[in-house]
Amino acid sequence: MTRDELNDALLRFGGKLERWPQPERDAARLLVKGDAVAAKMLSDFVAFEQTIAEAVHSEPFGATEIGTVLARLDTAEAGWRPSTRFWIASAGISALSFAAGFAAILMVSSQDVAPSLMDLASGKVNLGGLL
Amino acid sequence: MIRALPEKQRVALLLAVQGERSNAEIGSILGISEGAAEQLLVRARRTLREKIKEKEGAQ
Repeated sequence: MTRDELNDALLRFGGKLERWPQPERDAARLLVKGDAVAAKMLSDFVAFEQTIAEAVHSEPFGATEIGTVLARLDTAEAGWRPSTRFWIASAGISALSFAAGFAAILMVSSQDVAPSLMDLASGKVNLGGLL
Repeated sequence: MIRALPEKQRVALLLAVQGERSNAEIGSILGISEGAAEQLLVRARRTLREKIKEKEGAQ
């Protein structure tokens, strides 16, 4: 890795080497170990990021902007969750199913065929000697 | 200074610095590719670094 490549990698991945991809991290550590200028580039970049982090923490920037970021994080991490509309729709479908079943029972019970079917099902009657 | 960055660059930078998210995670959160997230971060960091240098040079 050259110093220019180190500079590019710092801009891409930031100043924390442990968060870099393995090949770039190893190459950067090797370079920094043997090159004082590269080592200063790294330490300067870490100081620069520290400045950014402090700016992020300072008011009034943090309150609103970080809230926006955290909201995005929550949305991204939560994945799919049932919404209120989902629960209302589910309850509606359940109620309709119940009503349809109840209506069907009323219709069947109001017809003469129902008792005979029930009797047949329970074995009280023997239709043509089939049972 | 950070506020002056375009919104996507600013959010990407906050996710990296404050949220300690990887470039891939930032891309996923913003709905863009990892490479596109990297480019946002590169532009944001480059801009801020130059502005800080200008500020230090002026003092």
